[in-house]
Amino acid sequence: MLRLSGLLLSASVAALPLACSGKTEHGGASPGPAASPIQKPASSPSGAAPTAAAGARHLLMVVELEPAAHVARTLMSRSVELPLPRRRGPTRPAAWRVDVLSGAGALLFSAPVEEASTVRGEFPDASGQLRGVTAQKRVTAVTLRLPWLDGAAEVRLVSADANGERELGRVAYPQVQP
Amino acid sequence: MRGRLVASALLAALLGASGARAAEVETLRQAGPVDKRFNIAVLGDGYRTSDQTQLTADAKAIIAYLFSVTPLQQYAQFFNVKLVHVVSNDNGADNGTYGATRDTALGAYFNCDGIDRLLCVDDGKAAMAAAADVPEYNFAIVLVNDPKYGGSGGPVCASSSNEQSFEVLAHEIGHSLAHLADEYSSEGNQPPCDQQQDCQEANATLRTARDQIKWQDWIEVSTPIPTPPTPENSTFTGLFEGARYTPTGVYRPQLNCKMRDLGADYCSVCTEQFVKSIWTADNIQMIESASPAQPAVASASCDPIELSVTTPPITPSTYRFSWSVDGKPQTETSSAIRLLPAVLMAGDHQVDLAIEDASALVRSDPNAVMKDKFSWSLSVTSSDCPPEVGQSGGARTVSTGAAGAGSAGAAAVGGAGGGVETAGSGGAAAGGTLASAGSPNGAAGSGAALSPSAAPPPRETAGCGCAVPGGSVPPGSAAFPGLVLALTLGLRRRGLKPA
Repeated sequence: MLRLSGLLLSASVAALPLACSGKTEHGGASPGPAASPIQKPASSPSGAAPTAAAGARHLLMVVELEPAAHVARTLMSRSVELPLPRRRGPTRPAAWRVDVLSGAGALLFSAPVEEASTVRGEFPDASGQLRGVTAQKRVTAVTLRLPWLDGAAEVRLVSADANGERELGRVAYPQVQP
Repeated sequence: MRGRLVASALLAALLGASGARAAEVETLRQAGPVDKRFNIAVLGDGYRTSDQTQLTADAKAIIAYLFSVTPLQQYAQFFNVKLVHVVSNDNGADNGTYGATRDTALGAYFNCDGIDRLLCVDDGKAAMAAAADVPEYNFAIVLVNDPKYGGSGGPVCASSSNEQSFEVLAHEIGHSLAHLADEYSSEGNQPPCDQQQDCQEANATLRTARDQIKWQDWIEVSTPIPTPPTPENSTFTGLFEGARYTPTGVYRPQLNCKMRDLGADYCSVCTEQFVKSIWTADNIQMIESASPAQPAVASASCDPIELSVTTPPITPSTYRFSWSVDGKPQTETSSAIRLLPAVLMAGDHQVDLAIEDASALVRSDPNAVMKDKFSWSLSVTSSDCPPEVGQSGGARTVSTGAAGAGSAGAAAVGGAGGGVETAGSGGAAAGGTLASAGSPNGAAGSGAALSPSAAPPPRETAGCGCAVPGGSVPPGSAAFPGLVLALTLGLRRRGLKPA
């Protein structure tokens, strides 16, 4: 049942850094009643409609990103015998996004991902005044929780801000084992 | 400690191919099932084999500290915590107490990006260690065995074993879990707040008009706006200038707060946001299970019909349960209700339960994350049930207040009470969507006018949705998938069956 994949290097597209998803994403920001979590409802994919391979388990991936070098690689992937974490309330926007694509490039799944290249720290100075510091890590990693999907081929990481979208990198979607 | 360690040999073998090593995992806090709690993984770095007992002590200390802080203290039962006994060859961290170069499993190092006290780790190694041994983890903390003061927040939170570093961690968790802004005015690196949309965070604003301040519910009418930063104004909420790395033009709620001063408590507004963030954290559901789980229930016997829900414990409980039968409010205020077919009478009935976390820590809940509801449709077919005479616990035996009510042991409830109209609750997929899946998913509870006669003043609400972070659930999935199983047994025991 446990799925493992070795290092899966992105074949073509430039990869960039990404952040963790499925970890600490919280609601509260967007107004409006019903939670409308969908970041970007993909248009109906052409070809075979993707279906969740299993509702009671999901794919856990750890993807390492090297922003400056545009490199992404899968450090680990495994199946977790739990449904995807559920969350109440509205979706909180995130700086990054993960997309799952079919072999034909159709968007099968999309989810927000928190930016993961920035490290923060707050320390008091000599006078006791708190001072903040930040650092951009050259290499970071994101934890992705994704559904098992038939027909999925790639995992794409995207940075989205007011200036538009920028692909950060992509790795292969692990093959679903029976 | 040994007795509490869980060996993960199988996992180790399976993960060997990907280079991840399984470590021993110690449960520090088991509040509930992993799919219904927010799961924290604490990873040790710079702890050698001989330091593992110390790791346990250090981890317990930091967790005890975190859960002594309001509101984590009150909501502690929403969290599971597991400690991963990652073993390092050396103690300490690079550039720390024990030298410039240390061989540690997660690669912890001070002087991250040239900042002496900034303590970073290899994010990939930390994530792999957590994923390997606590695959359900929602949040990771790396505890570094070095007494040098330091820490960091980011993809993972890191803290040295210096107790003063715990405060840094608590502050960072304010960012990571509650998405709070820094409130200090000194240097920082953050884009300025949008003039049109205001600051995104709950505890910072550009607005100075009282009715536009996002925490206006916390500001007394007599409080001057902006609020002078004087000692006499240090205990209440106002509009204090200086926040988010800017001494002027950006405002914070209170004079002191953990997001401004290490060692202070979270201010009221940050606490409120934290509570709401807990309610919207991964896996947290207000209704964890319902009995019966299915909303349609048929009763063919005269046995009492028992309906109930389970909720994650709050200490002390701040839940309010409001029941109604066929639109009539009931006196029952617990999480369970007992209905008599003789009182209900044959026919179809609607039972609605509205739940609210009425914590005084929250005054504004525009997204209704502090509320939820569940409904059952009862089909009673027995028409000749005798009233239960001498039924104990009259308060738990309720009537509809409709014709035929008033049987012995039944507490008929009048229908007065201001209705609190709540928006419909719908399941949804937070954080992601299947391209082919229509969302949101239908939730069991639907909008209904309820009349909780003893309810506190209603908060400002809009609606509430159940969501699936990280991806949407497949079409047709139940909003409460875990509930379906739980109730068949109870139904059978009571002679009931799902309709």
